[in-house]
Amino acid sequence: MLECPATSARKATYKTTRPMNFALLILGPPYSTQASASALRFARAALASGHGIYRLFFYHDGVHNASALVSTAQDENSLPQQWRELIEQHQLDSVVCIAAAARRGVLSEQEAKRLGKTGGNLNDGHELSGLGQLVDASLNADRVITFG
Amino acid sequence: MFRHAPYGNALAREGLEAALACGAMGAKTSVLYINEGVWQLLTSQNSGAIDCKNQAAMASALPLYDVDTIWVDENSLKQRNLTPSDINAGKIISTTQVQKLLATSKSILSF
Repeated sequence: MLECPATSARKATYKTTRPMNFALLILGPPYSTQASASALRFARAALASGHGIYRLFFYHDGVHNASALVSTAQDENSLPQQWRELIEQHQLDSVVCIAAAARRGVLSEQEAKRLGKTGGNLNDGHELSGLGQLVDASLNADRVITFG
Repeated sequence: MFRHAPYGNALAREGLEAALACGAMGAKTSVLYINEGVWQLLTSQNSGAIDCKNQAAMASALPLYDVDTIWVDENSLKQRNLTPSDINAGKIISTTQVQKLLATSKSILSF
């Protein structure tokens, strides 16, 4: 049985300036809304300030940020590409919900084969896994920030 | 924390799935229905008419996954002219109690 730490501990950490370990829950897709771009900027700012990112968890429409097929105009930023670069640069743990991704056509090569589809499109740097990884992040990160 | 109406996008459904996963993994979990989210608990919803699964029926699975604290924001109900008899589950709490709940939670997932 996993128990949440006491509230008093939470209040104590809030007042200190020690580095925090953030988990980011990204629900927004690239392009359509600001959510994913805000999450990316938050992640960059947190890392630049000496904080840690425990995990990125892409869920709901956020799974589209992990698609390697997203193709943006040359004079516009590609969020999937920027996420991939940030993940590689800082060796971040990035998990994409496997069920939410499958519903939206974001598949690894392995999943594509298993489901009889022509090809996978999961970008490098991400891993497909279950909601258990979100639960784990909620329990072990200092803060979970939702972007969506 | 459920803030969106049951249909129109998948946030309600996928948020509920996340809550069920939290409960299934033994994390101490409570859910809060607030703002448009209170519509999710409406007893008289006929989602079959739009080929969707009934959100209130799915929410009734929460206790089976050990999520047995279901809170509903009183003010959100009032603003929408809903009464406790319109919803099928949950304990109604005041804004002050909502604030306290949020302040004492280790982490909050918002859908």
